[in-house]
Amino acid sequence: MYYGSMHLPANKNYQALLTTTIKDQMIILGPDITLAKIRKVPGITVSDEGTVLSVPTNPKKVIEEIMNQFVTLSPFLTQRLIATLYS
Amino acid sequence: MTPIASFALLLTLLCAGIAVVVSVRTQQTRKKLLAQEAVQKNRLYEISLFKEIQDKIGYELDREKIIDVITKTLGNMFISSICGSLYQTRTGLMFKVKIEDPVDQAFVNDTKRVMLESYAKLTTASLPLKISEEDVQGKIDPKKTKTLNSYFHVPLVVNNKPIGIITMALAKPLIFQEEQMTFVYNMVNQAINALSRLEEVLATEKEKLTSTIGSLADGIFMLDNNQQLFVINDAAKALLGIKTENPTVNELENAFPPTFLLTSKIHDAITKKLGIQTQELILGEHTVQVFITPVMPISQLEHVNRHKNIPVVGVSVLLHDITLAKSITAMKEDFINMVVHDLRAPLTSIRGAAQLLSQEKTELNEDNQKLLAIIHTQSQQLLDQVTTLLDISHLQNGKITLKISDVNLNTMTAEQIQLFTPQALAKNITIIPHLDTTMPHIQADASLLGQVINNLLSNSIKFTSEQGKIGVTTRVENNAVIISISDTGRGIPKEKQAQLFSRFYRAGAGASTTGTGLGLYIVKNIVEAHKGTIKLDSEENKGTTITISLPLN
Repeated sequence: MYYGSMHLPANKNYQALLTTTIKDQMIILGPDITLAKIRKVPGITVSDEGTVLSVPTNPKKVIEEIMNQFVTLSPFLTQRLIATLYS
Repeated sequence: MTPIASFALLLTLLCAGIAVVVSVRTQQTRKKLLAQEAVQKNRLYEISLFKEIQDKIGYELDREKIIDVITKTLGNMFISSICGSLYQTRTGLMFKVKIEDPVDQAFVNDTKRVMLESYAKLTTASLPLKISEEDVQGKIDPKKTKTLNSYFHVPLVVNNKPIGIITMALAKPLIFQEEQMTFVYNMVNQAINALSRLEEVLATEKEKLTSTIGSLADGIFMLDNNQQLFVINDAAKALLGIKTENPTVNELENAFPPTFLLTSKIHDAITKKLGIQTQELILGEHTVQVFITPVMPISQLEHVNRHKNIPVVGVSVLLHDITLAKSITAMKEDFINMVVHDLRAPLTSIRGAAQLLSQEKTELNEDNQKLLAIIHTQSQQLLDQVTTLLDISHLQNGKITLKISDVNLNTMTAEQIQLFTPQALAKNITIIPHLDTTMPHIQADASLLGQVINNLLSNSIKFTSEQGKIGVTTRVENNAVIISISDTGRGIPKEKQAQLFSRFYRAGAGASTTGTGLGLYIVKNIVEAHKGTIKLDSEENKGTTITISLPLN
């Protein structure tokens, strides 16, 4: 899925931002499904608590992959994710 | 090795290689096919499950029922310790779970906690959240100490608005597979999307209804079964002096006069399934009539007479502003009074002058006397019609005022018979009275009652052929006095009988018959003003009997 030509601000700490986002999803959807989906995204390593341990150099690609994983679960949450990550 | 042996070995190796390649390819294809089959099977299962949920939901719009159906179906399909939901109702948050596998209270509490956290995050509400209603089904066993190890929540989002979550929780760790959970999300999303579409259609229809109602000149508002305001138009707000956009039922109730008791009337309309129409009601500078009507599903209305158990889905309240109509009526009445007064005086003079002239017959030749008779008769007729016009005006406005006195019906009837005897004799009609001598006096308006008997006798003579008979009977029956006038006239066809007491209706009118068609309408209204009844029995070419019953009290 293509999420448009949005740009991530260069100064963002993507790793911390992703950790926050994943932890939020773990609360909303539960840890089992969130971690199962996140761990399908290539190049990202996440602890059982939802902390992002490593991300690849192209975070935009990772975020798009995360969106693809979550859009099937809840389009509403995915919209919110986009808004949070690209704000 | 001989060249032949080498060739044979090479050939064998080649064949073996081909066999391996073919075998691997076959296995790959088989795996692919099996995977595709598994996907198809899952898809089919998903469709059948969704169909099952859809069949149970149908066109249900009650969110709570829909959530219950989905939760129950998922609980039956998948292994879990607890399957439940947390959702917003009209009154607050509802926590509803079913314990599938016995757990202790701590497990239920933990499940509730993670559900509340999920719902708060989903709706961006602040914790702690207050649960207004709880429904925990199944067995809580204090001995079954278990830890909440595996769970997931499915957000319920209707038309982009989160309304709750469905949760499946297990004591065993990591038991839910990703594929299985994704399947549940798909399931729930499809069912909720169907609800979203239905609600969208409903919202569009509501918008259309609101626009239609908004364009009405009359005030109207509708409440659902729980007496929650569904729609109100600007005309209703203006009549009730309500300034708020979405008034509460209390505000509506307070906008009516204290004696009106709106909620009680609405309750009556719903429980008795009957419309209520109230008399004139003053709302500020306006006079309105209020119509309270129970609303039933259109699809079931055709059975309304056969089945009493049709659910009432709400009630509509119509405020019909009659302020203008009332002022027009008053103007019309004033106008008629003025016209009647202005016509009566000269007509009385013409009639009087004609009467005086006719007394001096010697000075007039025969032709002039005939012309004079015409002037006298016609002026009398005009006077009668003008009086009728006034009576009608009073009847229409409910302003018939009875001047009650002690009335001897027999004497009155005898006088009327005497009055009509010359006309009857002229047509060789015999009037036969049967007057009950034990008849008590009644309390009535003598003038109006005389007008009734006069009209009925006049009609009988008018529609009875020569040599005919007219019977006039008075008697007492069931605490009422009865006066009955029957004739051997032409009778009234059955299809015309129902309209006989309507305004301007002349059942037997032909070119030779004069009259306004108002006589029987006035008669009926006068009788009803005395709380009496009037009945017609008629057979074509045989005759007509009109029976009037007036209560003795």
